[in-house]
Amino acid sequence: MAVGGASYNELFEIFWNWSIFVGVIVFGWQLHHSFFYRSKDGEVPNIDNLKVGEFPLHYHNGKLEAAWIIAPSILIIYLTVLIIGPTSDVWEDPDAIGVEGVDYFEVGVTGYQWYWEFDCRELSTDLCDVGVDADTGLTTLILKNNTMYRIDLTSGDVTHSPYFVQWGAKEDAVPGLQTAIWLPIDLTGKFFIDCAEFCGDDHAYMTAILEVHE
Amino acid sequence: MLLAPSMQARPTGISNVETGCSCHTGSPNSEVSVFMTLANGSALPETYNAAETYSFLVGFTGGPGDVAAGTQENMGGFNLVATKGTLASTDDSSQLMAGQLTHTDSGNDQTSWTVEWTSPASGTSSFTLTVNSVNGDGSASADDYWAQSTFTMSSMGGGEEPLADADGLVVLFSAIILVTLLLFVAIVYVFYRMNPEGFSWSAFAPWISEWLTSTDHKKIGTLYFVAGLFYFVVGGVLALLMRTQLAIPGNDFLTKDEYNQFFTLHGTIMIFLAAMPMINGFANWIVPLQIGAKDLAFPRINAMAFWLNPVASVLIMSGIFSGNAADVGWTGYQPITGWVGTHTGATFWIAGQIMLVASSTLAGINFITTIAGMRAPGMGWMQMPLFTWSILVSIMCLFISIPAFGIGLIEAFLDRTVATSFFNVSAGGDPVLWSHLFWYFGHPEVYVVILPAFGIVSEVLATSARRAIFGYRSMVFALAGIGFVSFIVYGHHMLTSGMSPALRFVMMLTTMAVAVPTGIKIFNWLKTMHGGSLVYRTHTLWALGFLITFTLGGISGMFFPAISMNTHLHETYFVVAHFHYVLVGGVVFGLFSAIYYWYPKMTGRMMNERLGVIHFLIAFISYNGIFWPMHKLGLWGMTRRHHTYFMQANEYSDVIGTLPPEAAGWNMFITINAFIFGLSSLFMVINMVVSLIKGQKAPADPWGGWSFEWLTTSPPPTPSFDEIPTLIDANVHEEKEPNWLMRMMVPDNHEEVAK
Repeated sequence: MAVGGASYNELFEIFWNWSIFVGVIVFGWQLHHSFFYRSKDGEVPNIDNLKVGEFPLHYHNGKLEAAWIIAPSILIIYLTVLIIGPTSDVWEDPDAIGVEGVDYFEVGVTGYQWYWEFDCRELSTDLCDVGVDADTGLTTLILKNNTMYRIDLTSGDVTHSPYFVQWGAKEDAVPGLQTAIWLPIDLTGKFFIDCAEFCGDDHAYMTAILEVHE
Repeated sequence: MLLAPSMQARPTGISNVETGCSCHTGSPNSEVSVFMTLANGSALPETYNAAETYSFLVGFTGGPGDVAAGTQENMGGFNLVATKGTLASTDDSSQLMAGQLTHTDSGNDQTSWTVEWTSPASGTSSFTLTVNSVNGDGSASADDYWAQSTFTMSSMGGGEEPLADADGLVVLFSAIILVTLLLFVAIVYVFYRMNPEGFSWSAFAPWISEWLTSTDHKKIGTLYFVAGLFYFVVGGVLALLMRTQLAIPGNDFLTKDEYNQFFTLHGTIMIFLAAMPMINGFANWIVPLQIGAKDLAFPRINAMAFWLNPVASVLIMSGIFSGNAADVGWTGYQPITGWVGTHTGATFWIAGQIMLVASSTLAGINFITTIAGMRAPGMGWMQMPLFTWSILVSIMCLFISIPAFGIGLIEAFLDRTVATSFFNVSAGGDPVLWSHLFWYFGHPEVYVVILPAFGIVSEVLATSARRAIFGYRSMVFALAGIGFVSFIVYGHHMLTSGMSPALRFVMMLTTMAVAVPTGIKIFNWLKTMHGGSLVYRTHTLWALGFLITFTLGGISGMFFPAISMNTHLHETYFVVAHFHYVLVGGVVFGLFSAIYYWYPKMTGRMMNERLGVIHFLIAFISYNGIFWPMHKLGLWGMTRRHHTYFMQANEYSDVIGTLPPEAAGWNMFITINAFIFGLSSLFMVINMVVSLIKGQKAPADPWGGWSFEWLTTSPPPTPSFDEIPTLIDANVHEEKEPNWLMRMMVPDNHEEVAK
């Protein structure tokens, strides 16, 4: 099952490919030098004439050093430009008006030790409903497929963080603070929500179900 | 299953027996009589044996239910309460509800039921038996009767209360105390070995008191080092216990309460009580030797900075012996740390860390003064060995960042003890303030522990390749650059914390910049090997291993600053894998390299190369076996700090979790590798101990390094140099009129030395 959400998967692939590129260069270089410049004991030429108590001659090359300041910088700038765009897809100032041109619906989630309370506000039961899962007995948030939701988060006691794995979305639910995450629902089925911010004894059991229907 | 209490409907039993019977109306009737016998029909004995299981037959005669079996649908029911001992059901005709036995749906067409009772150690138990005799029409009516009777059984005597199981934590840390005592015996043995013929107890007291009161930088360095290694083992044992718990899904090896304490202490111990003291140990030993100083600037402050450590470590762990150690995570996030439900040990844990802040501040003053003012003649800032540079930058980072942590800790301490409300939301406090204070310190802190490892690897690789380090000046500027950048990136730990979106965006951009100075260092190390003649020693292997693992850790770090990826990866095992790749693969590998590199200098004995290579090979492979699969677990969405994890519904499990079935296998794989990695460290410890006794005598410069520590004898005398050496510079320098900055930084006697 795909996890992480669309913009995560897109970026991950790019970063992954560049990681392999950098890794091949660094490890290839290291592997070559580790064996090519190997010296057996007893035949050790002291190339730079190291002597105890004498600072050795500088071994440097300005052009090379500049090259590996500039080349990684270009890669970093390129990757930084790439990641600025998708930022607003998953994360937005909660005071902002929302995603441009897309209708969205607000659902409230409040964390308590150790359960989630879902608040459908004034949405119809087709768009949002709260129930109990028959198989597991867990609280279930029932949402509609192909709909954009804004999850408004807060907490009643300590900090929690609901983790919607399939959409790669999580944000701390902090007491006394309103935070928000965007949830562009695009899969149907039953999904597991757990808590990602340590909140005490039953942290691992602070679970709920997200059910998405057509 | 584990997930939640079962929600299936329970068939009705009899409840509310204190006030009569709730499931049928009617009244107690003398027609119905109650019996309770042993299962074989003999009368109930008056006495019982301690901790024995008895089988009873309970039931009734008379009333509308007392008919031949099968003539009517329902016949009756029962409820049995025992004041002592434990009741149990033997078949599906009865069930246990809230400690009371009652009949089930399938058990209400009987007039008698067989039940079990396990007797307690002592005392008199009374059994209250309530029965129904019903007419079988399925509804409550006036001719349904009930009756109640009480039976008692008392102890034969002689039974003893069984001993309660000792708490796991108490057992563990009692073992640690035992090990400490054994260590003391080992110290006595070391003393005995030094001079077996002339051994006398009267000489022991001055010898041990010399260690306890010494202000010599070498002795204090050794104390730091031994303390760090000891806590490295303690933290490692905690990690192995946690891995045992996580080996299979739904394991109950540790309770959730124990697990929470374990990961808190594992983090605190590994960073503050293992990594920092080991780095301080090397800094104490090597920095004065490398700059040609006889000792540190303030030897007594140095001793005080060390002796705060053992006291602080006792405070940090003092909650353990009552099973109430800190359980808030090493980050101590608010408001969970201020929450009343946390263990009392958390208060001591905070107090201990405040002492460590004091210790680090004292050490910072000392090292900055020493490096700035006590360099040998001829050694300008740009002739300092890279290890000394790395210690200077790292101590500067610590010195500037740790006040924020100290303030945060004092606030948290006041919140917990005198009910101030710095972080208490309901009184207007701000929990995110703690995160800022903590990470403003916490991010430089991880650079404080990694920078000395950079310095170690720079020394080791250059010496092993028989070359000068490539790009000495760019290495120094990269160190300083990393030190500077560490202060402006801390917010990437808080990208999902609810802090200001503008600040999050800025931190995303600055964090990407960390890669540039780190990249310079990695490429310079690689270029240092170019054209050299690499001599393979154990410390060379560790340094090369460091290059691989640290680069992998650096690359995985590049995934976090992107906020749209961070929301998925934050607080998952991908983070755990990343920071263990840089902290174990970086700091610990660097420290291992330093141990093999400087051990001959410190003890005057060579270490065994064969054992060292075996240690490296086993540890390097098992290390990657532990942390590489964690990346995948994190990508699947396995969250950290959970004492258990849930698998997707499949043929083995009906729980709807996140992890695919193969995740269970990988967790087992990680646990097995963790044990191999942990045990492989024994090779190093054995190597160190055996080499101390039987190792070859080490020459002054066994590896061919150029810096001053190789000038003095192995081990060095006290004070460390008989005569302060003068550094010769092989490079030709043009005489320049020093500018204001140089005048401030170059020692006064620089002119004389140049002549």
